[in-house]
Amino acid sequence: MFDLLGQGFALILNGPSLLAIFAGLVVGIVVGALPGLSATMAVALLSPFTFFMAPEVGIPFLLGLFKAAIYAGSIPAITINTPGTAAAAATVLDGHVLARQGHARKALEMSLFASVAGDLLATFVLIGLAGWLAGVALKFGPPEFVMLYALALITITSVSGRHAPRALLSASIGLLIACVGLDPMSGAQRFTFGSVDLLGGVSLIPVLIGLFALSEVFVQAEGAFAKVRANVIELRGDAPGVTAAEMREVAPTVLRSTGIGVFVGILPGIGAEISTWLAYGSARRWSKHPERYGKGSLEGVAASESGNNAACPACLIPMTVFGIPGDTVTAVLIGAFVAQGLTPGPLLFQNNAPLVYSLFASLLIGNLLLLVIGYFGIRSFARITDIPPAVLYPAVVALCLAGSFAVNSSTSDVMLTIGAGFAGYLMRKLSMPAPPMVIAMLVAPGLENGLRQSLSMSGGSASIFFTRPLAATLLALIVAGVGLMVWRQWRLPSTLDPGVPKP
Amino acid sequence: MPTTPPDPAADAAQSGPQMTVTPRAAAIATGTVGVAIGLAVLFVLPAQTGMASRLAAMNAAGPGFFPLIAGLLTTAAGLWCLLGGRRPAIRPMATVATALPATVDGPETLPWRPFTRIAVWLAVVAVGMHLIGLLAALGLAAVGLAGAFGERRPAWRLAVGFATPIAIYMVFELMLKVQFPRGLWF
Repeated sequence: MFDLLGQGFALILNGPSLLAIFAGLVVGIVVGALPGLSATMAVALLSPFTFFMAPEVGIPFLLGLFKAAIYAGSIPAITINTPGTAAAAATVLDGHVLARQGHARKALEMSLFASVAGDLLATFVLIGLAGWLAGVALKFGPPEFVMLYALALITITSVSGRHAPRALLSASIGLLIACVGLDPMSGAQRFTFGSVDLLGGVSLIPVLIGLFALSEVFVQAEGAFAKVRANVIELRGDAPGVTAAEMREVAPTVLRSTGIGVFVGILPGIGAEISTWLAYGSARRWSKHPERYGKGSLEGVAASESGNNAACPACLIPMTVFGIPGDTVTAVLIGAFVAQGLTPGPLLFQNNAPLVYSLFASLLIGNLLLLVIGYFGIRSFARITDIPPAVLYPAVVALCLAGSFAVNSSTSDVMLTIGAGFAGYLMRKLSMPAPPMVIAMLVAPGLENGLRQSLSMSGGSASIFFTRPLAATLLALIVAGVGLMVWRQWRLPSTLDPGVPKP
Repeated sequence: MPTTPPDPAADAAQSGPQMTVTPRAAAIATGTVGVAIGLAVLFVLPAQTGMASRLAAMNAAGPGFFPLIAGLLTTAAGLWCLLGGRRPAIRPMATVATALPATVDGPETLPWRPFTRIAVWLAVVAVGMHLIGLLAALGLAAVGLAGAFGERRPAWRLAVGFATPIAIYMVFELMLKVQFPRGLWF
């Protein structure tokens, strides 16, 4: 492992790669600090640029962007009481209160230090675990992979809570979309309707750009009429920062939150948005001063920020090892990997080990750079929210459409992005989550191939899924997950919220 | 510390008429779409696509096998949405942590004015890229979108309309060597 990491560093320590990491971090901070622009949106929007770069330059750019955007979501959460990304929602609770008490710099620095610490520790876990897990995954046969992919779909569906039926519908439509094109085994056309454009299937990147980036423009347009900029905090240059004693005090919280972030990140389909709340809730339970939470607790800021940033490298574990996205950002990253000719999964470690470890090395380098850029740029980044929407969103739309054209030099992809943008917006209005659809589109080829290979191996008998121990274990987990999901759906209506009138 | 108190009524008046989507209506709409797509896959589409002969022989290794499973799943999920929509929709969100704020199923609103403005300018790009080229269409849309995002000064809107395609041209065509379509009129 250390040899490979050394090779990875050798591959990444060059001008273009370091510049790409630096650029990714700066762009990520800008994007994360702008409420309405999410990490997923940014990675989807900018992934077409990386198709023109070498993998050891383009992918580190996106990884830097990812981690920086998740960190920078805390900047507007603290300064203007609005999280820059969903992953920073818990940071608002204490971060903005601290800022109003005159401790904006302290909150911003704590957010930076906790983010970097959580990310760094989780990167070590990624480096230690991914290679070993890939070795284990190489022993998996088609039945095990089928069960693993199915488990990923059940997980992403069941964490959608009360919207589980709509999440399942979203996932099943994703499976159908993935069927469009030529059948990989027989070459038969499926759902092409005689269109030549559909023979190659539905392009993933334009769909991702539409679902996650263009649909956001519709949502932001709704708020363009509300000229509300309440509770803006100006950051003074001489404001006191975090002290060493305060850092020591929050260290156990950062460690615990990192553990939670890593665990949540490894689970397929869920990432920083969930881990931040789990970390915050856990920190409050374990705290010596739970009464301070919500009233300006530095521990609260540290918990939520280390929890969300720890999930970033952890999300890469299921992605690189099994080809299953850990969250929506890694779903987009899979598209970028595939465009570079890299197929995430255990064979990635076998065929491209130095490259994979160079990406891990880029995460470590990115953490150090993030610390430097974040620390010295705190005052400047706090002003990013001043960019007027009338300049920002036309540029976002132009980038969406030009970027989707650049993927295949096809105007059909532009139309596809526009269609996916409309679909994404309507799905939001109907409370139908988009991530299950995207994740289903990504796992569908592996799921279908594995299913057909498994049934061929067993002569058409489904018993192969019961007789192999690991497949049977995963199947049991799937059955339990489905049972729990259905039970929760039927149980939930009995706990009516008294605060809301019945329709 | 500039503080402008929010005024939801004024905002609503400015964003024009809006459609309210209740949780029950959303469940019924998604369920109906799901069942329709699922049934179409199972019964209608095989007859109209190249899968007709393949689906008939529905063996485990055939090309119709996986779409059939996905179609069944879509139908089942659609039915589940429909059944869920018939039941009381007010419930606390399934919390994953004690800190996660409990939210309830509330109605979603779809304000027509901003939606229509964005939709119109996207349509301009969709049609315009074939006629005047993608870059010019993006410039035209940028002028309109700047207005949709609250810019009232014509000079500024024009500036956004010029600057956006120039920036896209410099990045994509000059740096990345992507050739955008010039359109039928040029």
